[in-house]
Amino acid sequence: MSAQTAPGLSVAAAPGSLGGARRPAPLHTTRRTPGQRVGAAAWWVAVVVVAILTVFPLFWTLVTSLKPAGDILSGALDLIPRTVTLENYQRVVTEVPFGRYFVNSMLLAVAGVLLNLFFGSLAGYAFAKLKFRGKRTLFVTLLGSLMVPGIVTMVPSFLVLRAIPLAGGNNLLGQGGVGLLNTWWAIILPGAAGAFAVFFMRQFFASIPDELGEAARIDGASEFRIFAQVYLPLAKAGAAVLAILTFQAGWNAFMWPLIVLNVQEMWTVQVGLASFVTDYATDYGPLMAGTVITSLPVLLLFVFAQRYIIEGVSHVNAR
Amino acid sequence: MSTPVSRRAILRALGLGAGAAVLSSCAAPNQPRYTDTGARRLTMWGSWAGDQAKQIQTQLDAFNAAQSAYTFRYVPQGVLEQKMLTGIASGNVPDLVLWDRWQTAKYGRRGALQAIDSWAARDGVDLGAFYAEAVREMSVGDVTYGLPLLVDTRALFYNKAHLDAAGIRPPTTWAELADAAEALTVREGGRLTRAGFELQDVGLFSMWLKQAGGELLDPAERATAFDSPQGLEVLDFWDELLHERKVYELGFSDGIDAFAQGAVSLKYDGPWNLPTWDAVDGLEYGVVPAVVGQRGDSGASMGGFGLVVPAHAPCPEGAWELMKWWAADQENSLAFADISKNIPANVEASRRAVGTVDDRFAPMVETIEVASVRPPVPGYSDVETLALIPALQEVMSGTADGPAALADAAAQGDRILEANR
Amino acid sequence: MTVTTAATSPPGRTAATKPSSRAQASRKPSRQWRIQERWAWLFVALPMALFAVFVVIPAGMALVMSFTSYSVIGDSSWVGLDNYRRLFLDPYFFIALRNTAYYTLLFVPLGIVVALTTALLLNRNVRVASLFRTFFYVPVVSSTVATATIWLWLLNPQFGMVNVALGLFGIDGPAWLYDSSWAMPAIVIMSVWAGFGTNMMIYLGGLQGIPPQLYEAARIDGAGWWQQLRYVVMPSLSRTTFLVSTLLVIGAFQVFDQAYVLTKGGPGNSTITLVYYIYTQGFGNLEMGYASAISFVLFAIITVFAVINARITGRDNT
Repeated sequence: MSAQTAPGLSVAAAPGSLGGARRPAPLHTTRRTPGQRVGAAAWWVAVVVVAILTVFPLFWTLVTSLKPAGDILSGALDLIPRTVTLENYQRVVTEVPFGRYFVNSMLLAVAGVLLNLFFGSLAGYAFAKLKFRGKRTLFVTLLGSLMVPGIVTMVPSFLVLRAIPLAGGNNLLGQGGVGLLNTWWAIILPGAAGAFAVFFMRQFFASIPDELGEAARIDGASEFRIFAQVYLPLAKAGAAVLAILTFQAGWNAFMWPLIVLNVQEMWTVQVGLASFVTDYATDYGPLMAGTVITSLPVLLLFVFAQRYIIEGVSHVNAR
Repeated sequence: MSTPVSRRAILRALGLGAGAAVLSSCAAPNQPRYTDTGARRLTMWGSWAGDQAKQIQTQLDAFNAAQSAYTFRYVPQGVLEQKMLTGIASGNVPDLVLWDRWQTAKYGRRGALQAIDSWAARDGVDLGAFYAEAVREMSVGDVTYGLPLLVDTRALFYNKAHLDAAGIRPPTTWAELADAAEALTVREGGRLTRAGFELQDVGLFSMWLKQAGGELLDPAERATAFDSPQGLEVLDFWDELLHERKVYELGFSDGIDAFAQGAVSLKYDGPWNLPTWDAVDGLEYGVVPAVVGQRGDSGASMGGFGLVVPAHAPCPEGAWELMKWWAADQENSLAFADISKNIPANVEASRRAVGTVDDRFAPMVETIEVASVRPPVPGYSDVETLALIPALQEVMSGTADGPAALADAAAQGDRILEANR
Repeated sequence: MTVTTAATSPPGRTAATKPSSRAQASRKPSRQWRIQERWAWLFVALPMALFAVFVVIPAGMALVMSFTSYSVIGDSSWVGLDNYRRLFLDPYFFIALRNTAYYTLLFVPLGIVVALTTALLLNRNVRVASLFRTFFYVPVVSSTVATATIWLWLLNPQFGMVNVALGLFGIDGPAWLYDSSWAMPAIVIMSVWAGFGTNMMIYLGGLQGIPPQLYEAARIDGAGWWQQLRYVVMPSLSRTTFLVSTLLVIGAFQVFDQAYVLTKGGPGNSTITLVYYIYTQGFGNLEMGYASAISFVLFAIITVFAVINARITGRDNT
């Protein structure tokens, strides 16, 4: 048996290994072999280095947001501000209706998450576990749509939204009005129509054994109950990741809301941030302050959702 | 065995329907077409946002107060080009647009803008009162599609403290520029800590080319003309600055404002940075006109904003009234120059702005008088972005050889112009 | 979540279950199958309706556009295959194609390796790992504008952290975004940095599903950590790897933001990507028809690579 056990892969000795901490409480007090000590040290070094690389830019953003305008330009490389000020945060909130944009982005992102989780789980499950005619063609179409560059469907999508019948003053043929333009639907519906959520959840559902559903079917459960009570709980981790990704996509949406929304009051946070960047000069202070503020919700969501991803499906193994 | 579908489906549908009702009520309400006082409500779009949007609205408020037929509202647009395209495609255009003049020919050529010649003739607006190049940028052949509003150019900014300490006067020719830059450059242990001159933006090539006495395109505007002794002269000068006199290193001012930090002594820049640099503690700087070339030729590049009226706009007459009032009237031009700290495109107003708005406009106005615009020829933007600028970038970074790169760029440029004819 | 017992359980067990379920299926009354089918259609009805209206129809319109000289404003006319002929003679199309392929070849393997490595590093149930997971996820959260500004500063050839750090090791860093040989690698690094957090989480989800018994069995057989990685972890993760690599490939071919915000295609056209070229031709030059044609050629290319990728990761995707 090898004495070289790297911390991540050995189940026996170190706590929190690849296989999850199902072992009894950690063995800090037991003797660690030199190999394990080196391994543990290497782990710490690697993790800290990567953490510095990933967090440093946000840290620099935070520091810059606390510097006054003059200092930002003349002392850009100072990691500790000479003077600390909250004026950038003040400017962000007053110069653009940031609170309003925040609410707008939140509305769009949450609606997007709910719809995408709902449709993605339902359709993804159907593609993974149910048999129906046309399944293969539909699925290939779904997958194919991910490969069409979004940039070229921008104008056609815009025209489609405008021609939705019976919306925004349109008649039955979709003429005469503005359709769904300038409403939240113009952002939410195309977002919920994407194939990504379905494809993503389908992959997660596909890896759960069929036998569970078969058994439940024999016991007389309806398809919907099988979906909701047998499979959906097992796909919690996938749903959590999808929720984070969708929230982020909605939260970071920039170009599309700009195109379909006509009034400034409906803009999103990213648009608000972008107004501090002109062709000629970038107003770094409020831009950095705004970036800090806009990064927080997604981070918080991530911290919250992490649990579901990591503690995902431990009970499956208890079969 | 399987429970009925209906109940759940109905509940779900009801839920979605309720949500839909709530969400659709959040859509922006339709604006009434007229105000209480009978003035017609009109919309203006532009790419200016934040503080600058307020500047525009201030000007619009003055217009609204000065007459009673129209009330204008400014709506900033984040990506103006896409917005215009989709707006035109869906028939949802504003009455007036403030944009980069450079876009005008492209849209005008396709019939997306109103020609203003007849209105100008009818109302006695003299297009000659504007900088000729600015008007040229908004015309296709003999037809003019809008009025220029603001002009800008790049003048030479210098750090007073650095020049005084070195006992140098601001340069006026290429030779003086090279000498001054070399004297001002500071290296510590071989590493560049202060660059004498910021030679970063290859897009300014047209400016340098004119100073060398060359042209971008031939007089008929059918083929490129930058592959010439003058073009090579520019490249040789750049090579001298970068590699012999070592006054700069590529990327030195990336991501930071090197001039504000005192890491660069001389650079070409525009009036848009005046407010920014004024706010920096301890930065003392001055402005002089762009330098002249070795044979005394002067040259500069002109940019700026203009006002256009989209075709099929709801109320073009109202838009024209505002355009006239704002761009053609000197007093109003000056007022806006004061609010926005930009240089008006009206020649007289720009000269007066030197005295009334900011005397540092003087060297810029001087430079604008000799400035020219990018040729508004179909396909030229591709020539610049796909053929010329990449070639210049390669030469600057030392990957390509000057004459070969220029020849190659010229050949590609000619092909592009040909394809676009 | 990705319980991969189907792939890794001892052969005997799988063989035992499959035939019986198949036998069961053939014994299933057709009515039951029809009920299942009806449920399936109900489940997919609304998503597919949305998909048809907001994805299929616009894509169809774009396809039709590619056979015209559509430019949004002004007149357009049917030009048949002219746009396609034109792009095969367009040197810039091939430059963009070459750049994009280069990006994909660098980005996808690097992205997978980094995501998997960090997932392995942090696959622990201790508080501190949770904290580091959040740290590793931070780049994903930052907006494009902020990220671009920060990386411009980081890649500054003289002052940037990257070259300063390299200098500590005695390496003279290149001029990154000003050197046409290094601009694309710089963008790849930036993209990996910005995106690995998401794929790390996907891999973490996959790792969670590997039963500890497999590690036990491998350990008992005398496997060290490298063998465990090769024979236990990697096979169990094959479905996850398929998902991650497919997403990475599809995303890599459509890279746009970095070219648009950071380099504008330069220097020397070394970072013009296909989608960036599509954007400049379509929205910049108002040649929407031509841009559509390029898009569909890109679509065909992506499809080919996605199929190749499916073969490599050995996963049947139905």
